[in-house]
Amino acid sequence: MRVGLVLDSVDETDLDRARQADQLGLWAVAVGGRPGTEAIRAARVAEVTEVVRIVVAVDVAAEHPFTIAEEISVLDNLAAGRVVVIARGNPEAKYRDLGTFRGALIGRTVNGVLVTPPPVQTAVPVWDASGTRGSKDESIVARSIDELRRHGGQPVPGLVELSGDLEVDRATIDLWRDEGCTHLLVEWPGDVR
Amino acid sequence: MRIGIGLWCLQSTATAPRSLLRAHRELIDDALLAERVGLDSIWLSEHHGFYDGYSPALLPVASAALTATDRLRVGTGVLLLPLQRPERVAAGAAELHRLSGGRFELGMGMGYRPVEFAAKDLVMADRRTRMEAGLDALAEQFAGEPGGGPPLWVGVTSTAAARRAGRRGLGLFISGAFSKAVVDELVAAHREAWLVAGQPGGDESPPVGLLRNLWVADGQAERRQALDWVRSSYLVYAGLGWGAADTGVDFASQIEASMDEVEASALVGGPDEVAEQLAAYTDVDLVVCRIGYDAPPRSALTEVIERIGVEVAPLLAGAGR
Repeated sequence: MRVGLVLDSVDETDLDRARQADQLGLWAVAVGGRPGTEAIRAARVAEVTEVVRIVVAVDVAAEHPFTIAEEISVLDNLAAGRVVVIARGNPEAKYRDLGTFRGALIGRTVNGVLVTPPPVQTAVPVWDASGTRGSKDESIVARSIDELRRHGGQPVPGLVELSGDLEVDRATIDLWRDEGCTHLLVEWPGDVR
Repeated sequence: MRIGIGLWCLQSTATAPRSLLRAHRELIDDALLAERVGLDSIWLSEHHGFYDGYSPALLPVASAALTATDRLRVGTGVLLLPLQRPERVAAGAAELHRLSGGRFELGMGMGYRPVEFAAKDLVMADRRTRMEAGLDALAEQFAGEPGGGPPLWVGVTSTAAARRAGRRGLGLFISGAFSKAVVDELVAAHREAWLVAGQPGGDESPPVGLLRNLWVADGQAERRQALDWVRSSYLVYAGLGWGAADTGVDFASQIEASMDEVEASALVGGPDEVAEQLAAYTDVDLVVCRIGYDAPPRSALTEVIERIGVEVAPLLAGAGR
């Protein structure tokens, strides 16, 4: 199981945490933000890191799917192909169309539209944070062990808040690994090292 | 007079193909170089769905460039506001303004390609209404932001649009393709509308930014080469169908005449010569030297960035407004 670090902000202190995560070999650094700021924050992290994956939580219901896909594709070019998307937002909203969004990020012409530039990656991974999915091939971000067991897709990402107590947190991470989580994003209050 | 460079579009064109990934890396290199040679700013440009990858999302690009630099300003020249939800643009611009310590500048335009609107289920005929509503929304959101928002510019191609920007007290951002006579008309319309509207924004009239096709060149052969680069750079805009009524420049309907017009207004020569011609724009606050063409080899581009910063900009310290 690979472990990534969730950042609360992209201010200088958190940028230093991103640099540390990059140097210490964590799998990913994850950022979010209010609608319209997500790719901006992720680009900032991409600029100060070299190899760590950039997980960006995006409200895909807040704009037309092609506009969000354009932002993510540009971000993937800025990050040299290191981007993973967590799709959040109201599942019932007009603009939330993960099929169109994913298709655009693969470089497929969708509804007669081809998003350019293409992303660096063959396809940018898009993991759904809504708790539901359209097909068994889609990855859902689990927020509990129960959810993890229900959604056994591949990969099986998870998101968990750690306590800062090393014994407790070690047991938590072991449990997620043993239950089949493949990529665990942790909210960790302490020093990255 | 502030001196910046533009327009970085991050393309891979048919005449100068390159890796798009490398284009994004080179933007950062160019921003760092611009900062090192003392330039004021670097400016980005936006289009959607064009074959060459023309950048469709400027705010993440600006974020990377602002993160890589300490002093350089980064602007959008221009972001196409009617194609986006203004509340998202406002949130992003305010975030960049805050994170960069006030080094971000938001230039906006209406767009002119029907296909870019259709792709997002919009109608180009609504662009002016959407632009005005978007500017209203931005003003409202920036008023509520701690620390306010970034400087705002509006790209225009007509005196009517210049007047609309003036009435709002917004900065004017003028195309590099227009002659000095057209530039003077736009500036006058902008200033007059601002005065008639009761000087919104304060006692000082809103700023004027001017794109200029410009190259520092020694000798006749270099000058001719630079002018050919300027002409070829507008092939992209001919492909995009850009033009403006009553300006002598319309690549959609009169490509050769427009190329001649662009060549006639380009400033190409030694540093003293270029600076002297720029100094004639006495009503201008910011000049963005349009050098981000696809045709010149990379070594020529980096050399001209350095020469503009080291040899031209210092000659213009007291020029303009």
